[in-house]
Amino acid sequence: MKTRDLFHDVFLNLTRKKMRTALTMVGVIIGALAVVTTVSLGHGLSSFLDQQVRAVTNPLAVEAWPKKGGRPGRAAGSMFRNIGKAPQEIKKGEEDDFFGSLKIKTIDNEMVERMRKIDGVERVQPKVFVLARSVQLDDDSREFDTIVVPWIDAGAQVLSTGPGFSSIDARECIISEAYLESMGFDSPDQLMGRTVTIRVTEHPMFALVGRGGLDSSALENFQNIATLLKNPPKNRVRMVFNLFFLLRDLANSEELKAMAEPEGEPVEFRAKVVGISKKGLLTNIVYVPDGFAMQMGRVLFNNEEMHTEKNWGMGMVLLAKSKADVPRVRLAVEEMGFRARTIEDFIGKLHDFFATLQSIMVLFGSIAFFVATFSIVNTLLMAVVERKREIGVLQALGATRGHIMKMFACEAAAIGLLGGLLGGLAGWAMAQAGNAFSHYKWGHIIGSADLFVMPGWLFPVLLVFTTLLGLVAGVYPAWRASRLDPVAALRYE
Amino acid sequence: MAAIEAENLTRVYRVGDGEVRALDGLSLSVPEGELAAVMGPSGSGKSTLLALLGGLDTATAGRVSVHGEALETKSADELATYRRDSVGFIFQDFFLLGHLTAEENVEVPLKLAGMERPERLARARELIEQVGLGHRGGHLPNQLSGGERQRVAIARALSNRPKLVLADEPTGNLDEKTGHEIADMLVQLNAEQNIAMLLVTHNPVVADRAQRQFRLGSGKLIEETVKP
Repeated sequence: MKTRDLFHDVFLNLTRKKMRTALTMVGVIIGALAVVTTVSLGHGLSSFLDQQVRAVTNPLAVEAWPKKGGRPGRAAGSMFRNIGKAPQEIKKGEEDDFFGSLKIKTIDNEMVERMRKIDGVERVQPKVFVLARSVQLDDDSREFDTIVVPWIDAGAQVLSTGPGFSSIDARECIISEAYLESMGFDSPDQLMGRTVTIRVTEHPMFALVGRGGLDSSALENFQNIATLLKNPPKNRVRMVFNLFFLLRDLANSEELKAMAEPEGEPVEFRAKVVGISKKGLLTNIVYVPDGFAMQMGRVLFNNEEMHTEKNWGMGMVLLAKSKADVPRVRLAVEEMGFRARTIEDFIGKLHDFFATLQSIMVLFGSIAFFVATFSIVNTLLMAVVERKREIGVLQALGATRGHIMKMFACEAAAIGLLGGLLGGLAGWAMAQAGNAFSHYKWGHIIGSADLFVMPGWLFPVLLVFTTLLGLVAGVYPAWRASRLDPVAALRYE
Repeated sequence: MAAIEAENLTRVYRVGDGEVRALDGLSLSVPEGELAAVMGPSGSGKSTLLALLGGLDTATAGRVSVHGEALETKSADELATYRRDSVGFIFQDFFLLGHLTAEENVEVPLKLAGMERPERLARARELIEQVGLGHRGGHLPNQLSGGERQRVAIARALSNRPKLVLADEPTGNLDEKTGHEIADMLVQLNAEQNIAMLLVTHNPVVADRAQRQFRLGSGKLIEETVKP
């Protein structure tokens, strides 16, 4: 039999019971719709955030963070993992995973000097964090929320209007375009040259670290309490007393005291607006020159020596001369024993996150496919019974077992293919609707970007998958049909 | 060479713990191009004989050959090819495919044989014309009368130019007049096309049209009559 004729027969057979065929397809359609929608959303979000991150992050910056002894999470975890167990041997290479190694490492001058000498590095400066409470325009009583970002973290691509900073220490700022609307301006010129006040606060925990006061006593107290609860003494009164004293010690630890302390009064920094930055996902950003940012960062740590030769802090930022230098700088930083982080690392993690999220969502979609498989098997088994005499007639007319098997398997594959096609189209339509809705609802944030983007490979892969799914589901019914005894099939009423 | 040669043909079916001997050492022979009729009461083995000769079933013991082709040694796929290329079946209940038109039903064996569409369409139309249904070729079986359906079935049986036509009660579901028309048609086709035919029938009038008559009883050949 010619393949074309086989496909024609398959089409005729499927259209004979249109409603049943359509109902059998529903599972495949739902699965395909779910997969297309979720994969498109994951892909679109991933691409959108990729663009957003690239738009506000300096591609030339390489961050350097201490590696050894700088993993407090793992070290603290080791303490609780071993409760009730015999002491563990510290193996080579795993020293940092044990509680005893917990210490906050800072960067010394010698390290900074070595970083400066790395080939391809233009500038090295500390990683600065600023805890800004508000930004306020002169002659305006309103305060607006803000995130203050050092200029080295952003890069020239974010500047939309204005000349930019006059120097690294200038008391100037570049303010997000989004503030124009909030502050009631029509054009960037109305904001350019005006003066704003940025209020920056100290954070007790950071201040504790900045002053070198973190002594880990809180963690030790937690460990003691855990040990006591795990191995309570027989004398309950003694246990209550012990617990009381341990809790008292915990409350007296520097860390907990710091946590309980109220934030200090904000410190005000006045800055002239010298530029307007493009509006991105984060609309409340104010960029400041790096030297100015360091001054603000010292407030956070409540330490005047912070970000100076006396205390560089916990991380450094190395500005590469060009994009081509970034991999080399990154490698040199790692060879110095630091963890290096570039925009690509961050974006890579972002993509990994969305890939994982997509996998989970696709897994949910697969449940529909799983159910659809049984639906196809059930429908075809019913069809085998219903068409038993017809199968007998075909056998009498010379159809081989292979032909009968092919016919049913192709019917199953066609259900999969058609279901995938319809579900895929429905998913695409849903994605378009999602884009229209997101533009309507969040157009002011996302602009013209699409949150649902269907990758080019998705549709063909989906169709191949659903066709194979149908084919697999059709194997057993097709086999049953092909093994029918022609005499019995012809006698079947 | 005989069209049909059956020798000591036995077919035993297992039913529960027991067994039924549908054919019990039956031997018969039909010469090339002859029209033969098989008669006998229900359960005498007529349909079983037809199934064995048509390659739909295989014998428990004995030998059967059609135009010198031994069937008992053939595999399932070889039997399918034999049915497709060498045998035409006509059934009492017509067994047309309800979703296909008369012409399309006639096309089925040609399609299975891999014939190109224009060629098989021409052949199907020719056969439909030949059985006197030229104006009904595009009709579905449920739009045709019993006699018309059986004509379509005859056209389908002849589509692959078989060497042997096996008809199981071809007039059994038809009124007397139509039954005679169908019997006339088979006799005429046998004479014109020199195709060997074996008719299973309860109708002595139809059987009487055959050159040779076999009477079966309890799976055995009771009597063989040949017209002079």
